[in-house]
Amino acid sequence: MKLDAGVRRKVSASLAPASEAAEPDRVFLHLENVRGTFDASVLSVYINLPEGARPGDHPELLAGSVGLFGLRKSSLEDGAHGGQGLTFVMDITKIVDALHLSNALTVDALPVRIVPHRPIPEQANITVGRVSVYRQGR
Amino acid sequence: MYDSRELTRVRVSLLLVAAIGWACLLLQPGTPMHARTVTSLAASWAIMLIAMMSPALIWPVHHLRRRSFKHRRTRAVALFAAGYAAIWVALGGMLVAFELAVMRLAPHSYRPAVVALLVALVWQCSPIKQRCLNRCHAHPELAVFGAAADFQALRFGMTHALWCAGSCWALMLFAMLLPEGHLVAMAAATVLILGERLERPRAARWGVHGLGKTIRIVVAQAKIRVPPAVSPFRAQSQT
Repeated sequence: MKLDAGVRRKVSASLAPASEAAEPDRVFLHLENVRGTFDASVLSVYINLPEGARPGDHPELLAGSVGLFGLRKSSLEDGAHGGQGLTFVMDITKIVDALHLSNALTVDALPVRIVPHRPIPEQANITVGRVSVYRQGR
Repeated sequence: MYDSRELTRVRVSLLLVAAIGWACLLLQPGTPMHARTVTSLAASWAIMLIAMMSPALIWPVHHLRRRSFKHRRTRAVALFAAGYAAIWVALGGMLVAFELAVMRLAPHSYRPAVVALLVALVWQCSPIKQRCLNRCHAHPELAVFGAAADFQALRFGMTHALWCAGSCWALMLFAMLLPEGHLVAMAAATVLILGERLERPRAARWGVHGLGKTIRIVVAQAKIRVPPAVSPFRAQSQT
């Protein structure tokens, strides 16, 4: 996931002097417009997982897990959600803070890996429309 | 993602734009048909479009702004508006041409307006109309970087305009074909269009689409804001 250089600098600048008096920015990961036809699944989202690493070995990089309950109905174009699917928000401030402390937040892109708990049937056709990171200033 | 401050900002801006459009219409009443040149015809149509459709753009513009970087928001909204206007100008040309042809065949007659009203009523209840309304609620995922962001903002404007046109053309045509009182008809159509956008998407079937939620909101607000009348019997028993 590509990061905007200006926003990344702002987050780094807020994390640097973090103290009791000045809290750092909060950072949120959004999974937007998740669509599909298979409700019975759970997705885990990892940030900056090394290439080839087993997700289970890095619980410190786990942004969160989301259940896809209601996915099929929310993906129907003529349903109450208008086919927009589901959107999930996760607080990843701690992970970003850890990346900042290890000087790993200087990159222009942040790898995000989405891992299902169990294998998903091919016909489930689960898609994630957009993955984005938002900064909330204090 | 909901942001009340941003939504208020967008709402106020677009309602202001609509108010300016209505002020222009009130100062110079007349459908596009009353304009004499191509330029004034296009200007009249643009003013009618701004007055009627601006309030319905609150949610898509809010969606666009919330999913764009701050420094790109103005550009994204401009591209969205350009795409939206391009489609409506093309479709508006067809509606205006149709209106001119009808008015030439039956000048100052209410008959074409009555036929248009019947067509609008049938269209209003049709599954196609509901499908168009459902697509009007679609807020697609948008790119945030580079040319892809610009292209998708433009495309969002164009596709939204197509579904809007599919939803509203019959109401607009009725307002345009009225020899008198078209401003009142336009105002009523605007309220109906805005009310329809407040409704949730639902299965595309025959049925009445319109002001259900608007009426519920008005009634609820009235109950909150209007103090209940004190019964004289209760007032007596308290004294």
